[in-house]
Amino acid sequence: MWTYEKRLQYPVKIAHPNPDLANAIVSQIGGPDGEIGASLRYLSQRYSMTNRNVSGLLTDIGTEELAHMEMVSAIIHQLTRCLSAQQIMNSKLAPYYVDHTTGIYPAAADGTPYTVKYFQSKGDPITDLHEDMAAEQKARTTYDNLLRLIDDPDVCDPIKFLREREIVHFQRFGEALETVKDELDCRNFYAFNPSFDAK
Amino acid sequence: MSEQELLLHKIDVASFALDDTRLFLDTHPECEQAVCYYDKLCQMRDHALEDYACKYGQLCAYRPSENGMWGKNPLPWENGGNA
Repeated sequence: MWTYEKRLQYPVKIAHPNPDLANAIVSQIGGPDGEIGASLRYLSQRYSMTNRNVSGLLTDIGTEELAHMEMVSAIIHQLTRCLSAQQIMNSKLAPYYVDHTTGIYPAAADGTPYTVKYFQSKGDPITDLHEDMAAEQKARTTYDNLLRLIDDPDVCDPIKFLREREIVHFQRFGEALETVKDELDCRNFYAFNPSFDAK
Repeated sequence: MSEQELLLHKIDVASFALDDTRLFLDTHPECEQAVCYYDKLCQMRDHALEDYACKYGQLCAYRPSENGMWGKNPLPWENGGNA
């Protein structure tokens, strides 16, 4: 089960609101490669892993992604403080504002609401871990894209942290894949699905 | 930084080191050095958390709290909420 600690995993302290940036960054909450998708993907996949350490890894990374979702939400929250109607009207945030004011709503930068279709939980350890490695790279690329758009060092700082974590997660998932393969027939990893087929 | 911010920073640093080591231990469970490091950090973090809870309010569920967890201090995403 989950508990909550009343702090962010890494500080978010943004002095200057910026609605355009907020509109772009919201994709890392509710976009195709955002933190909600990452968390639900790993927390869903962990049940069909046959190796307990791999289930543990998925649990731990899935939990960390919830903390990242919180950080991105904090970034959006601080970027949308004290905005005038004029500022909003002149920004890319106007459509989001109409439906959500400056509340946090999981959507992509183009306004598409979050959907579970962004991830798969295939019930096959080799397949799922490949999906996870791809997911971390997609998230890393998204953060790279955002960093090109951001001038404000207050915003760059937590985004760089989040980007680094994606790279570490990718590394860990690669190791987990090797662990899974070590427990299978090295002449044919695909001979059966250890999560489903009786041996 | 204020004393409160410094103590919270200490908690943040110990917690993150634990987060990262925990993931490492998930894929390298036999690494004794990592296990030792993890235990040492746990202790450091627990002391810092107790100290913080005494002076500034409770951060964690399932731990004693005089004034409840929520009303007294800023939320983590508010200004002043996180060092």
